Amino acid sequence: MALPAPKIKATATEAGKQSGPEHWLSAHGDFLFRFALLRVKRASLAEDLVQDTLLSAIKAWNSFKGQASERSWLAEILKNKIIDYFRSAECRSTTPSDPAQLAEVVDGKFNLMGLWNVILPDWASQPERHFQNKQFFAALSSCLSKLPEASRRAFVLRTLDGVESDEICKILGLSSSNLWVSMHRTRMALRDCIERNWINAGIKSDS
Amino acid sequence: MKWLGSVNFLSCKRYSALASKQLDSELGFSERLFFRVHHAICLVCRRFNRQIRMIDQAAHGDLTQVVAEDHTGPCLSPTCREKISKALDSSPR
Repeated sequence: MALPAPKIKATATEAGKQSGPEHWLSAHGDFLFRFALLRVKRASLAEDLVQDTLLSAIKAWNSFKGQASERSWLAEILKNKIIDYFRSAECRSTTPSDPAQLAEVVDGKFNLMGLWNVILPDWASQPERHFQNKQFFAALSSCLSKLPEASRRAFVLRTLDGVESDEICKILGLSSSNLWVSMHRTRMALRDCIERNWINAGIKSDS
Repeated sequence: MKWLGSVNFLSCKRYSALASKQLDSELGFSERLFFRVHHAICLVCRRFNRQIRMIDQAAHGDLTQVVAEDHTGPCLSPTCREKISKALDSSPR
């Protein structure tokens, strides 16, 4: 037996907002859109995923028991829609993963002995206020959007959404060692990019 | 001890690969050994390890919320909003 759908249920963070399917689009539409855009990058695709999510949510509304906030419940549905998209033949055919992707990011960092070519600067020496602040997140999300499609997908699943490695290999059709190589290059590329965008921006705004 | 010869304890490149792999899976015995030895002797690699952990932590933690709740960020286009609204209205409940 399905439990009755909760009537109006405002959580602490969404106090004052009305809930229920008729308010989803106005209350959570942009939130869900940005959530999707961070993961899939293409606006038209993000819009389709938001629509799919809301349509599925309407059908599942009776099973929403209100343990989570409405917003995080919708985000969870969207997250699964994105995983389904990554798994789809459509996604695989539009952007096949290229084994050589980002290879130069790692190779260029080391000499033939495998030692660093450059001494990485210490981020901790940056002023405290630059640590984990808004600028850092802005740099991270902009760097994420600059990654090659296939590399970003693996990083999104693994790190943003915490999917287990074995599961990611199944979703993306990769071997474990392909995944590790890809994640290594992606982290190296993100580190470089964040250093350029965040640390340098911080130094500029200090002077 | 043939395997020992094949492990160059000085390779920062190998360390960086293992530092990343460690965030996605368990390391094997010889990988763990290499990682510990190199970690103890290389300052730059320790720095690298800290930085990629910081990135992973931020990406897994607050990034989604910060980006998705940023009202100055991108929004659904009016045309799309209308399209979704119509689709929702005509959907059976």
